[in-house]
Amino acid sequence: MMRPVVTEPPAADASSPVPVRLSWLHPAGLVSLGLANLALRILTLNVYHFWGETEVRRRIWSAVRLEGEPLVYTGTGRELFAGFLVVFGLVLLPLTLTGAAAMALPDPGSSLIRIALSAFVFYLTGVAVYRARRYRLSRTRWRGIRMSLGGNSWRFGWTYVWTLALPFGVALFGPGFLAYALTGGDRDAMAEAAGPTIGTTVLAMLAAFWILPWRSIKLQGLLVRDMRFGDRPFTFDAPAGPLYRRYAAFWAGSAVIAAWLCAALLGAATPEALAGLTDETDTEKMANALRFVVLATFALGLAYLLYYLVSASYRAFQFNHFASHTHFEGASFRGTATGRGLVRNALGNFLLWLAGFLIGLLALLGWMFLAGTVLALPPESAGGQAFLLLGLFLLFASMALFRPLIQARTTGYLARNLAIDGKVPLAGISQGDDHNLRRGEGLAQAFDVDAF
Amino acid sequence: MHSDTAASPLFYGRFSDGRTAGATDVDVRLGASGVEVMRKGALPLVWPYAGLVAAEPLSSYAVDALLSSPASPGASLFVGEGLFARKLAEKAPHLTTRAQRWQHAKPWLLATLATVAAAIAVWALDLSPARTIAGLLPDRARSAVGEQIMTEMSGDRPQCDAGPGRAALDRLTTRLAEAAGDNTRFKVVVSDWDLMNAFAAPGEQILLTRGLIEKAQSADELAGVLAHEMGHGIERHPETALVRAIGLSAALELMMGGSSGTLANAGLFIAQLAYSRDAERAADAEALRILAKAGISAKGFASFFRRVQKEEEGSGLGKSLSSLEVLRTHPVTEERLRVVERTPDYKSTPALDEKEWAALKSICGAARPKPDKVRPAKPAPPPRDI
Repeated sequence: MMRPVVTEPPAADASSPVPVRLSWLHPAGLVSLGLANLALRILTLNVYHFWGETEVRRRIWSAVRLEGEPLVYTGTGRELFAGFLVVFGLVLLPLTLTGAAAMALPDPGSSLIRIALSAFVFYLTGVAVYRARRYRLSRTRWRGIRMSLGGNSWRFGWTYVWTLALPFGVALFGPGFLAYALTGGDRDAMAEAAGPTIGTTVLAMLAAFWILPWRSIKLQGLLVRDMRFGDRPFTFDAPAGPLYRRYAAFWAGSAVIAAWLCAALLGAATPEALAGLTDETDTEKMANALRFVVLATFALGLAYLLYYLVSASYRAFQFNHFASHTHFEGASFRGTATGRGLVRNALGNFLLWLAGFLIGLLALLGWMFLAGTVLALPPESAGGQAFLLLGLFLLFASMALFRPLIQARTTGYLARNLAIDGKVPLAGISQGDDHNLRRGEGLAQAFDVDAF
Repeated sequence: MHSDTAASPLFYGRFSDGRTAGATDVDVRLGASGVEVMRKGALPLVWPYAGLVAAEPLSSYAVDALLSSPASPGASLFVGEGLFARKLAEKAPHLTTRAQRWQHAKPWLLATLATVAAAIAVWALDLSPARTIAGLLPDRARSAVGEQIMTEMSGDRPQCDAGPGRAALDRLTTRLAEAAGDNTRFKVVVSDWDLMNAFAAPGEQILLTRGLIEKAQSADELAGVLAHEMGHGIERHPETALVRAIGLSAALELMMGGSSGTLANAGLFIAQLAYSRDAERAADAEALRILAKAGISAKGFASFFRRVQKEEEGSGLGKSLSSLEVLRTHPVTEERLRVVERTPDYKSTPALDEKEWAALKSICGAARPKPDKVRPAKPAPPPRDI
C-alpha cells in the first residue's frame, strides 16, 4: 500500500484571514494531580518535581483554546531537571560558596564582594525572566506550529538592570554628590547641609519610582517583539502616557501606605521595646519585645494588603494596556482584566496556599512526634538530623499541594480576560525556526522567577 | 481496506498538517491497529497506537484528545469528544495518566530506594564519608578555613595578648602539644568575650574566651579544657562537621529544587551545632591521654566539669530560652563526668606555676567584670562544647 501523503486540497479561502476565538476550558482533577505529585515527590526525594510540574503545564496549556483547539506544551521533565542541575552546578553552588567565603573576609572587601554578588544575581534574574519565557514559548504549539522568542537573553538582562539601577542610583547618590561638589568637600559645610541632603535624597528616591511604568513598557516591548508564532512576529506599540495617568494614583497611594508604615514602626520601636530583642535574660523586656514583633508583623501585613489592593487596579490596567497594543498579523489583543478580579483571584490563591501550608505543618508536627516520642531518636544523632531534614522537606513539598489549582486559576483568569480582535491568515502561517534548546529554565527556577 | 471497522463509531476531528496553522475537518475512527484519519480527497492515514503521543495524559476527566504520531511528523489531530478519549485509553494504555506517571517516576523511585539503602548501610556500618573527606583535606586548606571561622566567631571582639599571659598560655599549649605527639602545632587564641566557651576550628586552631579563663579556678582546669579541644582537633572533628554541614545543605538545596535559601540555611544551622556524643567522648578520651602523658592531673578537668554541670541545672529562664533542648547537641555531662572522674591517679605536676597562672588569668588585662556590650558574632553563639 502506498504511504499516504499529507496534503491539503487547496481551498478557495484557505489563506484568507479568519477570526480566532480565545477561550479557557478549566481543567478538572487538579487537586488529585497535586496529591499525586506530592506523593511522588516525597517518594523520589523531590526529583519527580520536574515531571510533576511538566504534567501541570500540559494540563494548563491544554486549557487555553484557540478556535476550540488546545495549546500544546511539549516540554519534558527531563529538560527541566537537566536545566536545574546545570544551573545548580554552574551558578547556584559557585554563588553560594563565593558568598560564604566573602563573609569571612574583612571589610571592605567582604561588603564589596557581597554587593557585587547581589548585583550579579539581579542581572541573572533578568536573564532568567527572558530564558524562562523563551523555553516555555519554544515548547508551546498550536496546530503543530511552534512559538519562539528569538532575541538575546543577556541583552535583556542588561536592560533589566540598568533601567532600575540608573534612576535609583542617581537618586540615592546624586544629592550627596551634589552636596559634596557644592561645598567643595568642606566637612563643616557638609554637616550643615546634611538635613537638606537627606531630604532631597528621600524625595529623589520617591521620584525614581516614576521610572517603573516606562521600564515595564520597555521590557514588555523587548519580550513581545522577539516573540513569534511560526514564521510571523508579534508587534508591540504601547505608549507610556496612559500608563502614567494611572500610575499617579498608584504611586500616591503607595507613598501614603509607606509613610503610615514608617510612622507606625518608628512609633512602636521605643528603646524599651527594642531592649528585649538583644537581652534574653529579662522576661519583662522579652515580653515587650515580643509585643513589638507581633505589632510590627501585623503592620507589615496590613501595609502589604493595602498595597496589594492599590496596585491591583494598576496591574489590571497595565495588562489591558499591553494587550491592546500587542498585534499579530491583522489582529490585536484586548484585555478585560479588573483590579477586583485580580484581587479575588489572589485571595483564592492565598487561601489555597494557606491550606497547603497548614497541612504541611500538621505533617511536620506528626513527623517530629514520630521521631521524638515514638522512635525516641536523639536530635543530635545522624538519624535525628535526617529525620528533621525530611520533616522540613515534607512541609516544603506540602506547601505546593494546591499549586496546580493556583496556577490554573491565575492563567485562567488572564485567558478569560483576553480576546483576539480582527482576523489572522492562519493557513498562511508556516513553521518557524527551531532554536534547538535542550534544557529547561533552571535559572528561572533558581531565582523564583515565573513567567506568569 | 479497513473493512472490520463496524465496531468503532466515527468521530469528528480537526486535522492540521503542521506546515501551516490551517486545519481541515476529518472523520476519525479507532481501528484495529491504529487511529484512522479520513480526509476528503486524500488517502486515509493510519496512526499506530504504539507510537501515539497525546498533548495531555488521558484521564477519566478528559473531554477531548489532541494527538500526534511519528507516522506523520508535525501533524496533529484534535477530537473534541470525551468518549473518544476514553475509548482511545483502552486501545493505547500508555497514554493514560497512570501509565505516564509510572513511566516517569519509576527510575527515580528505584534511585531513591538505592539511596535510602546506601544511607542505612553507611549509618549501620558507621562509615562516615564526611570524616573521610575531612581526612583528605590538605593542611593549608584546613588552616585557611579555620582562620576564617575563628575571625567569624570572635566577631569584632579584640584578641587578648597581654605579654606574660601569652607566654604562660604558650607554655601550657606546648606542654600539651608535645604530649599529644605527632608534631601537631596548635594555635590558641583568647577572645575578650564574657561568654564562657571554648571551641576548636579546623587546622588545629582553638578559641578560648575570657569568660572561660576567668571561670577556671586552676591551671589544671584550663589544661583539661584545652586538652579536650586539642582532642577535637586531633580527631578532625571541626573539619568533619564542616564537610557534613556543606554536604547536608547541598543535599537539601537539591531536594528543594534550588529555591530554598532559608530552609537550606535552617538545615545548615541545625547541622552545625556542636558534635555528637561519640565525638565528645572521643575528645575526652584524647584529653585524658594527653593529660596523663603531660603529667597533668585529670582532677582539674573533672572539677571543671562538675561546676559547669551544676550551673546548667541552676540556670534561669533566660538561659533555658537561649538553649532550646531540641537544638542543643551537647551531651549529658553526667556520663562523661563519670569517665573522667574514674581516671586512676598518676604522678603529676601543676600545669603552670602560681605566677604563670596569675599572668594567664589577666591575659585580657586586669580582670574587669563588665556586662557584655558587644553584639554576638554573626552566627548564633556556638553551644558550649566542653
